[in-house]
Order: sequence, then C-alpha cells, then structure tokens
Amino acid sequence: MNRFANPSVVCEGWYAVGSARAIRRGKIKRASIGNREIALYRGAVLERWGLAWVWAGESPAYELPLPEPKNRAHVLRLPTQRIACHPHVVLGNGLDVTHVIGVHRFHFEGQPAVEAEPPHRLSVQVRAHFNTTLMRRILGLAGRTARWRFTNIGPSLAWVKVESPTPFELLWAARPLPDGGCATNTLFFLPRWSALLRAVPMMIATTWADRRVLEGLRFRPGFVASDAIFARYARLVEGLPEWSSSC
Amino acid sequence: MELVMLTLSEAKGKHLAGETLRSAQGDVAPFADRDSVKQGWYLIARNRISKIRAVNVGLHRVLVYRDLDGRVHVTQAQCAHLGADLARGFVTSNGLRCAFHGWCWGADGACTAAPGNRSIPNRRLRTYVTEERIGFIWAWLGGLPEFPLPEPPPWHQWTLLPQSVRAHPDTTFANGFDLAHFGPSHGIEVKTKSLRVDSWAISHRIEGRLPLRPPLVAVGLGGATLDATFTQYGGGIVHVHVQHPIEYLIVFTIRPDANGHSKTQTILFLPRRRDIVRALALLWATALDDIPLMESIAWTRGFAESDAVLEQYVRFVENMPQWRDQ
Repeated sequence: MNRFANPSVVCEGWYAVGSARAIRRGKIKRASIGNREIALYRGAVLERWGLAWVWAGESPAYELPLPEPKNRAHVLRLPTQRIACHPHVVLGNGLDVTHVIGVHRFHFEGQPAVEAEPPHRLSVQVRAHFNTTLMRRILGLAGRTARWRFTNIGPSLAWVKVESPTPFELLWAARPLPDGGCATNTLFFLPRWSALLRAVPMMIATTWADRRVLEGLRFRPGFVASDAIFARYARLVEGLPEWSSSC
Repeated sequence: MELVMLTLSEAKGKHLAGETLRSAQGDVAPFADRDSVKQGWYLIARNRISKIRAVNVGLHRVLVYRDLDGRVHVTQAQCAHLGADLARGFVTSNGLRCAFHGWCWGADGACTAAPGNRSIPNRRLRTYVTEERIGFIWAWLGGLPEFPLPEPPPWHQWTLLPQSVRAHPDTTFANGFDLAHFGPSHGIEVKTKSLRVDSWAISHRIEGRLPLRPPLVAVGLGGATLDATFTQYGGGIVHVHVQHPIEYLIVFTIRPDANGHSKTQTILFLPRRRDIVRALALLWATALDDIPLMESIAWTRGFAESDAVLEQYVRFVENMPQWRDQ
C-alpha cells in the first residue's frame, strides 16, 4: 500500500483545519495538513458548522455531507482532539466490524450491510446490541439495540447516521499531522438538545475504548477475510489522487 | 564458545576478513549507530513481572509476559494481524490475546485464534529465545542464539540500581576497551596483557596500578595492582572479571532505549561477601566516575596509535550482525 496510512502522503479531500473564528479578517493563519504547511485566510476557506474547511486539491471532487434537515436543528462541536494514529486508520476503524466484539463489547444482529458509492464513499449499515456493563447501565445503554450507518467519505471524513435508540448524526473529520498522528473534529447534529443524553453515551460506548488501541497501533496492512470492509476502505484510499501542494 | 588468543595484528587481519564477509550480507551497521541494535543476549526485565510489559530496545519494542503456567516469553510487541500493541492485550489459556481483534498467539508464536475467520490464518508472532536467570529475564535478540547466555559463577550476588546513561551503548561499552583513557580519566596507568577476539566475543585483559585516590585509599586499595579482564558477549553484555586486588565479577548489561541511549544494569558477584565495600569503591574508581564524560562524547573515528585496542573493539562491534525485528 502506498497511500493508505502513509504519513508522507496527503490524499485529495476535505480537511477541517480548525475553528473558523480563529481566522480573522485580513489576517493569515498557518495550519498543516500532513507535513505540508498551508496559509489560511478568509475567503480561501469554506466555513461551515464553526469549522474552517480546506479542499486539498485543485477543485472539490465531492461536497461536504449534509445531515438531514430534521437533524440540523442543533449542532454541537467538540474541542479538537489529537490522536497518535494515522487518520486513515482512525476513520477506517468505523468500518472494521470485527473489532467491535472484543473492544466495544456489543454484538451484531444480522450481518452488517455494505454499500459502496465509488470512488469516494463506503458505508456499512449496522444493527448492534450493547452488552451490559456497569458503565452502560449508568449511561442507559445496557441491553439496548442500536442502528446506524457509518459512511467514510474520502480520506478524511466519517459520517454516522444513527436511527435508534435516538436519531442523530455525527461527522468526524480527521486531519493528518506532521508527526504521523491526526487532529480530529467531532460534530453532533441533533434534532433537539435532549438527544445528547443518548448521543454522547453512544459515542462513548462506540469509540472510547478505541483510542487506547489506536494509539498503540503501528499499522501494517495484514488484512484477512474478516477485515474485508476495512480492506475495501484501504483500497478506496489507495485509489484517491495524491494532493500535490504545488497545484 | 571458544575464544581464540590472537595478537593484535592477527586480530586485525581476522576482523578485516569477517568484516568483508558480513558486509556482503548487508547486515552490519556502523559503530554507535542510533538506528541499529546488535544481536545478542539482552536483559529485558526483572523476573518479578506479573503482567504484560513492553520494553523498548532501540527503536524497536519487544513484549515480555508470563503465561498462565508461569513461563516467561519475549515476543514482538505488535500484533501480526494489523499491528496493534499487544501490551494492551491479555494473557489467556489460549495464549496472548490482542485487545483489538481478539487474535491469540501461542508460546511458539503461532496464531491460535482469530475471531471472525473460518480458519486460523497462517500468521506468526516473532518470538525470541528467553532465559530466566539471576533474577532477570534475558532474550536473544536475533534468530537462534549463537552462544549460550554467559553464566556468572555461583558467588554472592549484589544487584545495583538500574541506570540511564545518555550515551550510545557502543560508546558506553567501548570505555572498557579504551586503554588510553584509563590514565587521564581514572588515574590508572594500564597496559594490555592479552586480547582475544572471535565473532561474538572480545576479551581484553589489562594490568595496571590503582591511583592513590581517597575512596581507594580509604578501603586499602590505593596503589594496589589491578588485574582485570573485560569480555563483551554479543551486543548486550560485558563481564569484567577482576582478579586483583580482590577477585569479583562485574556483569554490565546495556539495552539501547528509544533515544539510542543506554539503559544499564550492573550486577556484582563476589566470592566473599565482606569484599562488597572494596568492590564498589573499585567499581566507582574504574568504571562509573567518567559517565559524565561519556555522555558528552560526539563519536568520531579519530584513532591514533594509542587506540589500537579500541580500534579493534570498534571493528568487532561493527562486524556483529544487526538484529531486525521483522
């Protein structure tokens, strides 16, 4: 593999480069995508949901995803996080269906359904049952069934549309950092603020344990049959054009 | 292992031949190279480990754990599936279980479970030959051991606290083979009595007179004759057998850390327990008091005539095969 999880390669795509408010009118702000430095100024970036977005490449090959109108009533942006793991692996983790049993302790009800919209999107539709743990009892998730669709878009975005137990949407943006890790931005799209009471525990239940594993990972593409969906995402990234910053 | 007694010129000739051969195999690295680790026995951890522990060896990491039967194993630290850190895993009856996808690895490195797969994939975890001795866990970092783990005599054991020295292991070990520094650094005028070299060991016997420094005078060793043999085995162990003024053995072990510096452990073996104070005074005066100097060395090959033994030592080290963890 030449592009997937390669810290010296940046693939074309949308990258969130920080808070839009941090870019002041008439001022230039520096940021990085991978090991390349870029200059940001108002007019050169797309501002959406409080974040500044940059298309790494000549002209956008796809748009930022738009949540359903009913879920756009409230948007919550979490502070930027740094994860010591390549963004392709962090985002690919959502399509890595075999790790959920061991790491997250829930099981699938039926086979996850995969849908591809080449060349930029790969989705998996999941119906899962949360095993009971003390924390899940406290969070109100124990024994519940959840349905969601996890879609990876290009090299830098993951969009999660949760249908039950509470409808909401989640957008993750992961930008590679010069040290090989990534900066992630998380946006909750909620039909009402009270949905947060279920949305946050669900996010914790499905991602909390990942960080510890991802930060110790030295990724090697040793895919086997059970990693078919994750491997398919790796191939999708392999097929994306590399961003040449000189364009 | 058999050591061969050679003169300096014979040793030089032998090493040059070996150097040419190994260079052709492409598995050697320059002296004090931060990115390489020489093959050999390395002290990995104290044997009191109760759970899985990852240990840095240069830029690589190995994992040490005790299985449910109490046996110790040293393996590669990353899962042979997608590279997850096995130190975050668990020891089960099925072997070492990765926290990521639940793959299990037996003591021989074979995959014993891979949830979600119809058949067990043909993957192996790299394992290393491991020994538990004198209170420590040792592993041969390389393929199969080229020599047995050197056995200290059954004397009284004193284990000193582990130390970090901000110098490359090659530079730290080289100190014992650097004849010309004994005078200026330690006040000991020494000469080489013999030099023995083979592929995996270099042994240097020195004779000299200890200085009249207060710590040595206080324990009755000021001005005494010194007779000691420094022997390095592979990349990670040096034995210093002091024959005179008191007999004892110093076992120095070094493991490079992630910054290329030395993690050292010193263990003393004494025939008579009462000699410990004199042994420590001698150790301080001949080996430990120049650590600050070692930590400031920016290594260059400025060999002169007086560095003949050191030059042989550097050739010996450069001739040793590197360990690769893949």
